[in-house]
Amino acid sequence: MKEEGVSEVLGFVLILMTCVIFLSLFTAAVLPNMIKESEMQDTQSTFLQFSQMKSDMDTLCLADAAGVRRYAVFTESKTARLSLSYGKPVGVLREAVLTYESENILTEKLRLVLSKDGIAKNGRLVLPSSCRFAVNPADTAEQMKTGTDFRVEYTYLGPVTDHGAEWHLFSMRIL
Amino acid sequence: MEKDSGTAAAVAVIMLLAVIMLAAGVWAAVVLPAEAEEAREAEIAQAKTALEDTVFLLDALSNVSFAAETTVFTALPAGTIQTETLGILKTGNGYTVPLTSLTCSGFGGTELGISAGGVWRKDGGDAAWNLFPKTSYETGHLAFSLPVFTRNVAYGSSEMIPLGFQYLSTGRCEETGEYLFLTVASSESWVLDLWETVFAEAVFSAEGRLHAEISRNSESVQAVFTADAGMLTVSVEEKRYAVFAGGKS
Repeated sequence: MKEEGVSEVLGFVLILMTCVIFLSLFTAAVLPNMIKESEMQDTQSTFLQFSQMKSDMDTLCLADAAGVRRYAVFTESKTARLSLSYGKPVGVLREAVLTYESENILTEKLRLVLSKDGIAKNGRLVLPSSCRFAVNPADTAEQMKTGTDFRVEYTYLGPVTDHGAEWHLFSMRIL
Repeated sequence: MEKDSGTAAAVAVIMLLAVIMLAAGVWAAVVLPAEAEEAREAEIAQAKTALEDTVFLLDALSNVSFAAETTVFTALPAGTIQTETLGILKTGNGYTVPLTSLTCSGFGGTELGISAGGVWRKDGGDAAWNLFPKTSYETGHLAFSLPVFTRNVAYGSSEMIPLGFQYLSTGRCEETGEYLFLTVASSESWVLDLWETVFAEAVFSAEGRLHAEISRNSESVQAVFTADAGMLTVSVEEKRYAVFAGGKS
């Protein structure tokens, strides 16, 4: 009778150990890979959304579609920060610099900057510029939003020339 | 009594293990493939949007006066891209345009591409347009505008793929008559399927003012166009671009 009791306890302990080992292996080997893969997919997805917004802004400039308003939507799985700041002066206007930043757990943090040069990812220019974007400080303020859902509203206002260089004026809002 | 207790304990352990294994089995058999399929469809949707944006960008580029001095850049999702020739379009007077495609793969058995100014999707042997090529019909004039990629590109990346397009030139062919025909020749039957729908769509969007007799064999599809107006003009515009992948130009 005593031996039977020991066998049951031993069986339970063995099953528990198997479960613990399985969970430990999952946490140590599988989970980091899953998190890493998810972060890489998020990074790619955000970059593509950024690139699509740039392509659409380029399309508006090339089509000379003054007065047309568009939206770019960014939906993130984690908290990120999107800001619009002023860059180089363009007469009374300013270069539009759009910056997206998010922290990652296992992969390097993501910093995307859309400026007159194009899109830079973590300081490296990965998509050169086709058109240069400017904003008028009188109607577009510097702005910043932190969260998981962003909407950038942009309206093309027309081309502007400054010291022989062509810029394209936009009105922008982060919502 | 003692024997029963031991058997019950053994049965309970086995049942517990069976439940755990069953749950793991169901997860592996149902949930995992569904999640993988959902992720694949999301990637395809992203690629489709990126390709459609590229078509609009190229269209805008080709219409500006300074197009030749401008290179536009965009990005496509991770995977592989290549330029390929799917067939040729031939007009009645012998003018031929290569039907090039910028093809994206890496989404399981699905391929997507830009060809003739539209975006196509192919799953296995079946293909359909996600965005129809641009055709227009106005007062006896049927117009086709076809982007042609002149540079061979093959590029793959596990991250995104940066792409540059440089406008090179436009070729144009125009023909007038009562019966005008266009032929698409290709060794791929799915390409002929796609072009059969392009010809049918051109007629449909002309709202009854344009007619076409479409015939098909294993190597080509041909449309003989006639118009209510009597005389018909068909123009084919070939807009040539050089494509650069991976940020190089």
